[in-house]
Amino acid sequence: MKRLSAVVVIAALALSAAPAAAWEPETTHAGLAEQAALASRLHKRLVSLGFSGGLFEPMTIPPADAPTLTAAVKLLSPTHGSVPDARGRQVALAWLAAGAALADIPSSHGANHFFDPATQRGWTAPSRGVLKSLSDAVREAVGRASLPDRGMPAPDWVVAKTNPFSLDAFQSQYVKAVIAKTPGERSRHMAAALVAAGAILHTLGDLGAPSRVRSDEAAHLDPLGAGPDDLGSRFERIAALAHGRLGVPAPSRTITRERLRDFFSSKDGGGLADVIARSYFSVNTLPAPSRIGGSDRPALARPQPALPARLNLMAASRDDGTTLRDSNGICLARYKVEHGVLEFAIDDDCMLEQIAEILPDVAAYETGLLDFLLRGELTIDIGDQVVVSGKGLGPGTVEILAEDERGVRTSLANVSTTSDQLATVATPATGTRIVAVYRGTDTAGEPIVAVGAMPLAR
Amino acid sequence: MILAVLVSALGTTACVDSAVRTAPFRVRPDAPDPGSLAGPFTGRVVDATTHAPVAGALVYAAWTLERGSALPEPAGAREFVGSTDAGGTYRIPALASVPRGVRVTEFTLLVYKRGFVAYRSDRRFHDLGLRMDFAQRENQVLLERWRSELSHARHLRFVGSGTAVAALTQWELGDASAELDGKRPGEDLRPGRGEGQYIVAAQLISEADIKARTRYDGAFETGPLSDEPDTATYSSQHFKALGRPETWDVAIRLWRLEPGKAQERYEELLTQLPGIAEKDDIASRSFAATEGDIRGIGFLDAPRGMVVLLTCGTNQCASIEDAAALAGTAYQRIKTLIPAPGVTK
Repeated sequence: MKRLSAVVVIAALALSAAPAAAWEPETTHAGLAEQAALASRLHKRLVSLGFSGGLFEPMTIPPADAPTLTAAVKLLSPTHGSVPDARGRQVALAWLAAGAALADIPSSHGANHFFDPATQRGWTAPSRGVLKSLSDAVREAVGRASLPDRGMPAPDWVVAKTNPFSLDAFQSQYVKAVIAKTPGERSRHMAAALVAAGAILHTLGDLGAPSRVRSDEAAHLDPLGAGPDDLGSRFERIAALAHGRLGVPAPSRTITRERLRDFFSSKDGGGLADVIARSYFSVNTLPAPSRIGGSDRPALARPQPALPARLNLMAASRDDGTTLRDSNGICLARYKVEHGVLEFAIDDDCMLEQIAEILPDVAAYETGLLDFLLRGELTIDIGDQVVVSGKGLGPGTVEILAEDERGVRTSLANVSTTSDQLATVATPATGTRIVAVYRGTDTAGEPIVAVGAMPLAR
Repeated sequence: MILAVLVSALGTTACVDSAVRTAPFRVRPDAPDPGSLAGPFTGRVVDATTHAPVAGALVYAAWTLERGSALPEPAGAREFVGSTDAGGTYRIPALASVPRGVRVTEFTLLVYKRGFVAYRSDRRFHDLGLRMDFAQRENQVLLERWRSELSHARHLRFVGSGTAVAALTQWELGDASAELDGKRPGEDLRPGRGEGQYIVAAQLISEADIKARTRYDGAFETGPLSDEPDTATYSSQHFKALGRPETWDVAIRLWRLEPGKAQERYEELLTQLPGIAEKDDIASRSFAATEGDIRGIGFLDAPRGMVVLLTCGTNQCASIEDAAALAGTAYQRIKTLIPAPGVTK
C-alpha cells in the first residue's frame, strides 16, 4: 500500500497541472514487448537459427538500406532502449521493442488500434454531441488535430496490406532471416521481422485499454498537461507514469489461441478485447447517472460489467462515496449520491488498481501471440539424406539450405509440399549446418512460417 | 500548462510554441516544488560504499518529445552526453529549442561507469520501482558497486540504448545471453557475505593517503578496476591519475577468503608475479614485486583471511618504499576495520 501511495503522489504531481488515457508507445508498449519476449520462445528460436546471442544478439539494419525505418527509429528516445547506434546496430530485444514503439508512427496508424467487440468497429472520430460536451480549448485542439473519421479495426489492421508491419511483412522477413545468403543479410532481415512482430504486439496490447474496446474515443481527449494540444488518454498516461518501460509487470501466464484473430476477439469471448470490454468500464461508458428512489436502475452502455443486485447507497451517500469492486476486489468505479442523484466515476487510484491488474494479462496475451508467430517448427533428420518434416502444416513450400564454415547458406531444394514429410534431399558433402524453412498454412488455415536447423555432424 | 519560453543555457531561445509537461521530480532534494523537465540539471556522483567522488562516469541525458493530439506519436529526442569531473559533479545545460508543435514529455538521466550498477533518474535497478529521490539541481547519485550475482540481462534493459551507451555496455552482452541460456557467467561468490564485517578495497587507502606519501598534486579518477567485477570475496579500487600515463596510477586489490584459501591465493600471487622478493615485513607475510614501470606490494593477513595487492606506477611511487608505505597504511586500516578473530572490538 505504501508503494501504491507513492505512485499516486508521483502521478498526482505530474498530472496536477492537467490530466491523461491507452498505452504509451515508448514506455508501456516497449515494456510489454520486452516482457513478452523474455517469457516467450523467442530467445531459443533465435539461438537455434544461428543468432547465438539470442535476445542479446546484436543485429544491424544499415541506415542506407532502410532510410524510412531509420528515420522513424530516430523519433524514439534512446533512454527507452530501442534506438540503434549510428551504424544501425542494437540487440534483438531492442528491435522488438522498437517495433512496439513504432506502431504509432505516423499517428494515423494509431487510429487502427481500436476494436469494440460489441459493434465490430474500430476508431470512430468523436461525434458532434461528444465534442459539444468538451471545453472550447479541447474542441479547438481536436479541430487542429484533424483526426481521422475512421480507423481500421485492430484485428483487420494486423493483416492489412496497407500496414507496413503486418503479419505478411513479419513472415516475409522471417523467411529471409533463414534463407538469405550471408549472416549480415540474415541479421538485417531478422531485425526487420522483430520490428514487425513488435508492432503486431502493440496493436494487440492496445486492446487492453478499456476505452479502446468500448467505443470510448472521447477518453482520448483528456488534457495531459503540456499545452492545449496535449490530449490523450489519462488512463494510459497513468500507466506510463506508474510503470514506465522497466516497471511493466511480467505476464501472468501465456495465452494460447489457434488463430491470430482469436487473440484479439473470438466467438468464445476469450480474446483480449472481449475480456477487457466485459470486465471494465471506461470513463465515458460508466453507468449513467440515475435519480435515487425511482424504480430505474442506472443505464449501462454495455451489458457487462453488470452492476450488483444491490448498490450500497448508504455508503454512497457519504461525502467520499464508495467503491464498486469486481469479484477479485479490483476497483471498477467509485459511486456517490449527491442531491439525490447516483453518479459513477473512475479516479486515478481506481485506474491504478485496474492497470496493475490489466498489464500482466496484456503481457500474457502478447507472450502468447509472440509464441504463435514463432509456432512453426521443422524437424530435420540427417543421414544419407536430409529429411525435413513438420506437424500440423498444410499446403506450402519448403526450402532446404546448407550453411558453410563462413556462415554462407546455399539452397539445396525449394519444393511445394502437402504432406507432413515435407522434403528430402541428398546430404551435402560439405557444410556445418542444415536449415529449412516452410511457408504455407497450418491445419487451422492460418498463414505460418516454420523453421528448423540441425548441425551437420562430420 | 505552456512554458512560454525555454531558456537555454547555450543562449538560444526556444520556440514559443514549445510545451513541457510537469516534471515528476523535485527542483532540489530538500524542496517540495516540482523541477523543470527543461533543466538545467546538476548533481554529484559518489561511490555508494566509500562516498568518494566517481570521476569519468558517463552522464547521458535525453528529453523525450511527442506531437499530435488524441493519437499522439513519438517526435524524437534531444540528447546530452558528458561525464563527471574529478569531483564527481555533472552539469547538464537546459534544453535548447524544440521544433514547433512538439512537446517535451520526459527527461531521463543515466549515469554509467563500468564496475558499478548504472543509475537512472526514473527507476531503481534493484526492483525497477519508481525513483523518488531524483532532483533537478544538487542531485546526489550513489553508485552501487557491481556484484557478480547481479543480472547483466536486467542491467542492459535498464541502461537503455543509443550510440554512447551501447559503446560502453557491449561487454555485458555475452553474460546477458548466457543468463538467458540458464548459464551463470561466473560462480556465485556470495558465501561468506554477512559473516563478520564486509570491507572493500576502496576503504583501505584514499587519495589523501597517496598524496600525503607521494606529494602528488594532481587529481585521480577513482572506481573499481575493469578487469573483473567486485564480488563478496574480491574487490578493487583504481586511482587513475587524470591526464597522466598509467605510471602515475595506483591500484589496490583485496581478496577476503577463508584462511586456508587466502594462503593459497597468496602462494598463487608469488608464482604469478614477476620480480618477486619476499619481505614478510607487513602482516603475516609480504612481498615486493617489480615489472617494468609498475611496483607491487602484496601481503597476507592470515588470521583474517585477507590478501592484498597494491600496485603503483614508478612516477607516483618513486621508490618501492613508497608502495610499501601505502600497503602498510592499508594493513593498518584492515586492523581498524576488522578485529582479529577472538578479539572483540
